Amino acid sequence: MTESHETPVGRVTPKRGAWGLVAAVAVAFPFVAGDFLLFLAASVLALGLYGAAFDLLYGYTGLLSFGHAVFFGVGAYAATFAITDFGRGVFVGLAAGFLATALVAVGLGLVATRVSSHGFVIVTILIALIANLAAVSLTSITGGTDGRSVAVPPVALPGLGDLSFFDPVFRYFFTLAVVVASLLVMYRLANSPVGLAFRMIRDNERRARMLGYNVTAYKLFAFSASGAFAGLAGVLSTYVTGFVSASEFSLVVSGDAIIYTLVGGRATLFGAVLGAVLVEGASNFVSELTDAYPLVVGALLLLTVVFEPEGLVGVAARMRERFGSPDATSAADDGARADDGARADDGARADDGARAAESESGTDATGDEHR
Amino acid sequence: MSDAILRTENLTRRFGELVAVDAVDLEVHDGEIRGLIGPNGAGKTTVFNLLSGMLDPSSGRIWFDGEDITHTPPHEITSRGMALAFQITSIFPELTVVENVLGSINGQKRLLSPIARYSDDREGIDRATGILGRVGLERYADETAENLSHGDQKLLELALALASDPDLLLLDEPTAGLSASETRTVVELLEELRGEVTIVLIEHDVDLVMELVDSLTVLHRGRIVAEGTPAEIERNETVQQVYFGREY
Repeated sequence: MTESHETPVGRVTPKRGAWGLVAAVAVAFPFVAGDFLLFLAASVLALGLYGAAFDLLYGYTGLLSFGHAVFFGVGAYAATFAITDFGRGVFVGLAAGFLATALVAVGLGLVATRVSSHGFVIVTILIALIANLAAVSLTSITGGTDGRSVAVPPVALPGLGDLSFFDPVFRYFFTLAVVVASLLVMYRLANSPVGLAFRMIRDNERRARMLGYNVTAYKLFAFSASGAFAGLAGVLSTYVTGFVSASEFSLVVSGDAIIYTLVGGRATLFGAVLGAVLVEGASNFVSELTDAYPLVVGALLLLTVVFEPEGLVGVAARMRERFGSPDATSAADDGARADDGARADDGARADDGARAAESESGTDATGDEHR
Repeated sequence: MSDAILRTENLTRRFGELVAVDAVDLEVHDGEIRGLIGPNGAGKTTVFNLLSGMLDPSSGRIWFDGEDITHTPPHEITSRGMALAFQITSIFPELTVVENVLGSINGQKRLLSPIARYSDDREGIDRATGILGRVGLERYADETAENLSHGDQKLLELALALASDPDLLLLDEPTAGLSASETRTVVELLEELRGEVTIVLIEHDVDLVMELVDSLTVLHRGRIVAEGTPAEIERNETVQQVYFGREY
């Protein structure tokens, strides 16, 4: 039903065309943008990866974490230690950030995934607060909120010689490469049988458990994978800025991941990257115009959540439907679902929740039967 | 006793003062279709919740396939071959219909790949499509589950239970709220499953129960008050009283 064209490089569909366009923009960008924009773009890409990592947990698995700043910070510091204190290179720094964060996430996840969904939110907030306090007070190690500068060593690439992170173009492409590779890995995970299990847990945890899934183990896996990629984003962020500080651990940083995902569209991975581009881009340009820029960004977030719960990705889908869509039928279906289907089902799900609560607390068994 | 696939002894569940299930001794034979009936509040759904491990009994024991499963967690009970289709549909609303069923099939696997694409799992998808065919939902395979009508969601609920390839199927009012033709689909499916799968059925539609089941267990206020073939139960005086008569 989607129109496609055979070309020498394979089948081209409108969807692939859109990805091609995104890729072309990403590659062409350094040749038109100035140094500052390139710096901004590289930081935003790192934050986009951070958002996508959060989306893997929130959008796919349905777990709302306020603790992702911890992963971002642990990644950033692990790479800093590897480079500054152990004299290692950039790639070891990336690996150290990824692995250290994965380990920390497993440890914290063992606690956080044991409790109910509201408990999970609270536990992650506590973890973030404690980590922040620790990072701020352990100035001898972290440099506190004043931070530490990190001399990111150059990267020797075959045929290209030593490439420095002071070179804005290299910095941009390096970040882009790591972000794209990470997104591809996360995309594979999200579309694997394990990813399907994540989404089942998000949609109906009790039923997933009944069907034989070890829900706690899958949650722990999602939490750790999500944490590890958030850590990788922290490493990239440090490479881009050449700086790390205890503020990486602040609750505001956790909030950023949530904002990117909500603005961009949950359970899409790429949506969070778009969200980071829009939110950080807007903050940057609006902050030059007015000091009240957080209000503008806040309004943007509110408007998105109220008018387009599916985020920028939802807007894009709607545009496709409106303008010369080859999927006209599915467009109509989607409209119908937003109106009645979703609502009817929310009722059913609320019922289910109530039933689960009954079963667990065991206060009213026969309530089931009166429905 | 050798052909009892499911057996309970003195199964009891209290909620505070209320004894929802009271010393139930149940024996379901391999291959039969058993009806579990009783007025509202008789404890039928609670019995299902106890059998499937969703609730812990206050006392008593449960054997499934000869093994004691009294305090076994629900997912392990599912793996051993018992599946429950809920009275209120409990599906995965944001997944497509075929993803719902594939997910249920995958639940029986010990290890799942984190890198293979589930959409490339031909074998699993073929099986899922086959199950959807049995409940008459094949044409909605790629539809998002929450877009289905109430009746079709109910059929999907049944498909989820079937997908775990159970030996014992617990069905909690599978035809409640279904249209006449959807009810037909369910009845025909259950006839097809007869002998292949043991079924315990909670159902309020008397005609349907009489048509389908081999034997009936009547619950009232958490207790078994009668057991027998549909014809025997029809003549049973206690049952008449429970349903139509005065309280006693």
